[in-house]
Amino acid sequence: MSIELNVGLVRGLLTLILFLAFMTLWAWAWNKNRKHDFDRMARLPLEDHDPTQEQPR
Amino acid sequence: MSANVLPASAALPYAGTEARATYNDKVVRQFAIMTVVWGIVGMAVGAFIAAQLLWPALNFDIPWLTYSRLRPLHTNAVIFAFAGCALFATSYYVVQRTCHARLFSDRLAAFTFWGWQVVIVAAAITLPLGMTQSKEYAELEWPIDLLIAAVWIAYGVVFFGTIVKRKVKHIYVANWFFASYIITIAVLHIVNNLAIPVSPTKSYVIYSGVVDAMVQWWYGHNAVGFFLTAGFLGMMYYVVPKQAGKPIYSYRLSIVHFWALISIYMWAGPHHLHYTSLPDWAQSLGMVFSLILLAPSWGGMINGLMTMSGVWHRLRTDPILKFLVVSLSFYGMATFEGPLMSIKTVNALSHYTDWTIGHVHAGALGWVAFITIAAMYQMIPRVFGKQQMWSVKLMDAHFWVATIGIVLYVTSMWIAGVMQGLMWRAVNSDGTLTYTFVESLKATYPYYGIRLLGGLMFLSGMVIMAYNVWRTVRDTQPVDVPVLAPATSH
Repeated sequence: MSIELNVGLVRGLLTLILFLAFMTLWAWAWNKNRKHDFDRMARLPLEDHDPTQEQPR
Repeated sequence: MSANVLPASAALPYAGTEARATYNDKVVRQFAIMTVVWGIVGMAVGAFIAAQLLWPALNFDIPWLTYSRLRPLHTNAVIFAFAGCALFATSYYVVQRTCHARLFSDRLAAFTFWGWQVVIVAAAITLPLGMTQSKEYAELEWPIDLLIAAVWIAYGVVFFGTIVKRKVKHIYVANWFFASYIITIAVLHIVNNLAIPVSPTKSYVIYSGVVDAMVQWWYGHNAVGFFLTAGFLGMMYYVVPKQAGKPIYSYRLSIVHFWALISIYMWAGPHHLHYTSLPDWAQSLGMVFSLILLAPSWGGMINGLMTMSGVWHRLRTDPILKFLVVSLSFYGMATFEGPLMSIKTVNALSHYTDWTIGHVHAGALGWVAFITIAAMYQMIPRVFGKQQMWSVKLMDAHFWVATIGIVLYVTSMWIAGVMQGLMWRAVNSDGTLTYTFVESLKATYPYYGIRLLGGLMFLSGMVIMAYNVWRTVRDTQPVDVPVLAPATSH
């Protein structure tokens, strides 16, 4: 049995590559080593101290 | 608008080397005010053409006032003037705050503001005159298209220049969404508008036939996907955590759903061309990608809603939070309905009916306008040196009149659309059509009335907002807020 290179095979391989890329992205994002960085990044919008929002003294 | 520099209190950790540097909030203030102005104009035109569907005599037999010319004016005004100004304002505000840097170039930023206003005014003049490329959401003729391209490239330079200048290592997720929207809109706009001019007011696009249709809906659907979704998700990823006072629920989810969303949206366009001469495989491809889109869309909705869990008690007192909850709920509903309608057999019923109009307005009024209103209510007091809006009660009134307006609008169009679809496909036993077209139009009549009422309610909410904004900003001396040094952990 020989594998024939045709458009169906290319489409199948492309699907597989995209699927693996997605799983890699998922694994990268859920890697425990990233948690610390992500927690700091998530605080960025909260760290812009805004003088207009201070309570009047 | 003369601005005073707010004295930097010694206790505040402003950027050491840039002690005198301030954020460029002038351009933010300009775009924020024009968001409200163009919102009223665009929605008023929408209400007027909704009334024309009920009372066709309202075009007064004047060509400039016909439905066919005012409808593109309505869509261009609400998408590019109202939503566009809102995206400029919030992206400029957010990129400065989360990068701890002033905008890259004040002059280019001012050019984007004035250039964009010229585009809008040019659209408001040429569309009623009947000058059009006849491409939906890309009607404007080639000289205006060139100006749009110039403004957009300047926008990209200002935005990415500010990212390059950033004082923190990381690029916050909101900026990723804004970046993808800016790049994609540039590509979409330029490719879809490639045309051969034959006079200053007339051109012919270089594509023909089914290729033209496919390019047009690749553009059209990604205008929804990137202008009205990715851009507003960028807004959401700043406004929601800020208003809830806590970080986003899951930062890793925001990364995964960002990449999934932008790679899948690109392929969903063919669902606008079901049962046309577009090859069948391309239609199926568009349908499958549209179905997959549910996952990354709901990733964003879940991330936003879960961020607000724990502050639900504040819904009683904080109208901004109410706008945000309803906005994300409509985002979830519209992105469930969209994949549903992209299924070929469902589309066979829904296409060319008012169901599509209901779906679009669930997204446009419920998601886009509501998140914009929330962002403006949060941002306008800050950039004008006030603690909050002039009247919380008026914000509350705006919320209720607008919410009831959307519900009336969307439900009436759902009922009208399904009814039209069923009437158009009904056949007698001998194969003849059961209903004439005009019979379906007559049956739709009451729902056009309810839709007009809903639209007028939404419009009156915007008028309440305009009054509240005017009272908030009229006696202000806008302050220039100093650039803040990033937290040491960065």
